[in-house]
Amino acid sequence: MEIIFGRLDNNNARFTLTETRTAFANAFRRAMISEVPTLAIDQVRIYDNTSVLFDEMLAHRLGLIPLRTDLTTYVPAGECSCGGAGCTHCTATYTLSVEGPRMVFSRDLIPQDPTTAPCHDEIPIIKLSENQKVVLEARATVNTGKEHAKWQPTIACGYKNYPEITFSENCDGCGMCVEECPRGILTVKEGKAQVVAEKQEECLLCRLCEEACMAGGIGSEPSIRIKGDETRKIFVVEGDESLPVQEIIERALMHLRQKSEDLHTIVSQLSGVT
Amino acid sequence: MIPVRCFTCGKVISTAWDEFKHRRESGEDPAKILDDLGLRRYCCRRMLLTHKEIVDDLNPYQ
Amino acid sequence: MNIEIRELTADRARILFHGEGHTFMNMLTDELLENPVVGIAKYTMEFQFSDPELVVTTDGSKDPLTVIREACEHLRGYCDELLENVRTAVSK
Repeated sequence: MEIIFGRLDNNNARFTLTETRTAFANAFRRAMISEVPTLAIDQVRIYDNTSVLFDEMLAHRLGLIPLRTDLTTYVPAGECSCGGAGCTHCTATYTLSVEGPRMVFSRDLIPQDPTTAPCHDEIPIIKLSENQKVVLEARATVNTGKEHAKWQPTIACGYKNYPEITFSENCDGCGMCVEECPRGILTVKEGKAQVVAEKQEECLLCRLCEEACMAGGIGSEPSIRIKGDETRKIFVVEGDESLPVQEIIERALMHLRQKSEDLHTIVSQLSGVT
Repeated sequence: MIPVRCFTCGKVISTAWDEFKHRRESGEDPAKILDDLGLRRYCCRRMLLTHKEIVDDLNPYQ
Repeated sequence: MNIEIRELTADRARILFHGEGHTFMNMLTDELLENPVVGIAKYTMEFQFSDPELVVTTDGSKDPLTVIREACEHLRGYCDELLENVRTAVSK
């Protein structure tokens, strides 16, 4: 099994996972989405809110703001030494105090610990008009996407089988598949259809080209064949900036590793093998 | 108020609203603005396209 | 991880996994089925959020716990391999 990166920066990754199986790839995807913890605002104490939004709406909007998370300093409340009571290792506090008329932005949310500042400064929270006021205190905790989607570190996170495109001898280069392809990955050269260089991975496996080829009416088999290789998966992972994508990938793998390790230990003890 | 994130994928789209609104009002093609703002998926694009801002209408009834 | 053994014979086991979900269980059953001595490896969840119960049967040449242990070793191996991979790719 191997990961080959096509692209990797802070917020986006695209890689091919080779010699794998669907079950493992899917566990990996699920782990990235719902088992990697991040910070998100969980409790809001509202001292004053004379805006047009209800307190609940305001709290909901605050919860959705992605917060920069350093998982070396912050741990999930359940694993914290304070026992979930809420200390500086599992909780980040913010204050917000704004008087209208003006727009309240996420940068108005003042973190007690500057390393946990919101990832974006420009998220509009609520527009205040004359004499309106919002004063509140918010507490962010570390949790996973399993609990609520606001703790998900990923946005788009998925995989597809590696596309394999083959052309048979019967291709007459009519170009109907080229016209049909929504990603424009096909072309006709020297009277035969072929894949545009470096574009094979963009294939959606939609098989519209096969249909178009059949409509051409030569024989009973399309001369272009699309197959997905189940042992090779193309992953796309997009982060919400709270954690670098690389860390999401590593932590998801560490999570799966830990689970296997735990079960291994328990079963070994039960069967008396050490 | 514009939702903070896209309902479907969770991308933060509210940061793009202000620019989108101004550019659309000045008559630009929404498709082009959305492309410029880096909103590739149609779930995120519909968030801005179908949004109607009503805070200012509500304000007098506080 | 917290497990409860409901039934254990030389070729069959029923194990309840407290607090596990599809993420790990599906991966585990798939890995178990890769082993040729395994007959059935399947987990059931009575309701959406119930704890999964794993059923493993073997042909008798190995006992179910050994088979599970081997599957865990493989899975751990895959993760180690990929982690190593990611770290070297990043450091480049």
